Amino acid sequence: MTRVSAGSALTPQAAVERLGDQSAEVRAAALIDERGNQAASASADGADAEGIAELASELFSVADAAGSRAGLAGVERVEIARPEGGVFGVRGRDAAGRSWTLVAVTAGGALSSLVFYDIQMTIRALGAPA
Amino acid sequence: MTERRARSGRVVGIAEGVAAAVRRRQRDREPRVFLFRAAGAAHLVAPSAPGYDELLEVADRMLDLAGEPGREARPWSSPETRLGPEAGDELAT
Repeated sequence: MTRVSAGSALTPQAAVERLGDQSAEVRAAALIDERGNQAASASADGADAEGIAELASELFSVADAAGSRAGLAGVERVEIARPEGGVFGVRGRDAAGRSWTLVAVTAGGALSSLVFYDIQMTIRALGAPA
Repeated sequence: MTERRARSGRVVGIAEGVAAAVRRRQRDREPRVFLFRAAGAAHLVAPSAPGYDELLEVADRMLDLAGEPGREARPWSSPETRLGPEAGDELAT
């Protein structure tokens, strides 16, 4: 399986599209910038990428609230796995130090370590030198 | 007498196997919710924990929007580009 590599800088839109192209498990992805704005989203044919992008910020708001109630400050990753599919979110910084939130919706049975790796490499590639 | 005991032992064994299979199946179908901190430590959010239902609700809405699980997942499309001057133009190479 081809995995995402952090070789060159990408635009936000190119980044989410490449994540989908190279990660077979990912069905939709949305990228949020450090101001909380939707930077980009893309999806498999038929999926509502825009709707998923709108929910991406909400996912981390809820995760932060749940984390603080559990004594977990600074939630950086979220994984919610159901048999029919999963939702993975990562907060991270690109090579230029900018903060991003990338959320991916996957098919069921996706390996979380691989999905997280691909998401993290995608975020890193956003700021890598060309 | 010994034969009857052996038979009932087999029946009990089969029943225990079926019960274990049912438990495994139920466990496999239960959603798993994890939160991770910066250090990478995973925290499993229990179904009874605050926030579990809310996280699951958001995830379910996202899964609904992602479409049918068995659907052919290619090709990818980008319905619209949301790159503002502050994001896309800065990062374009």
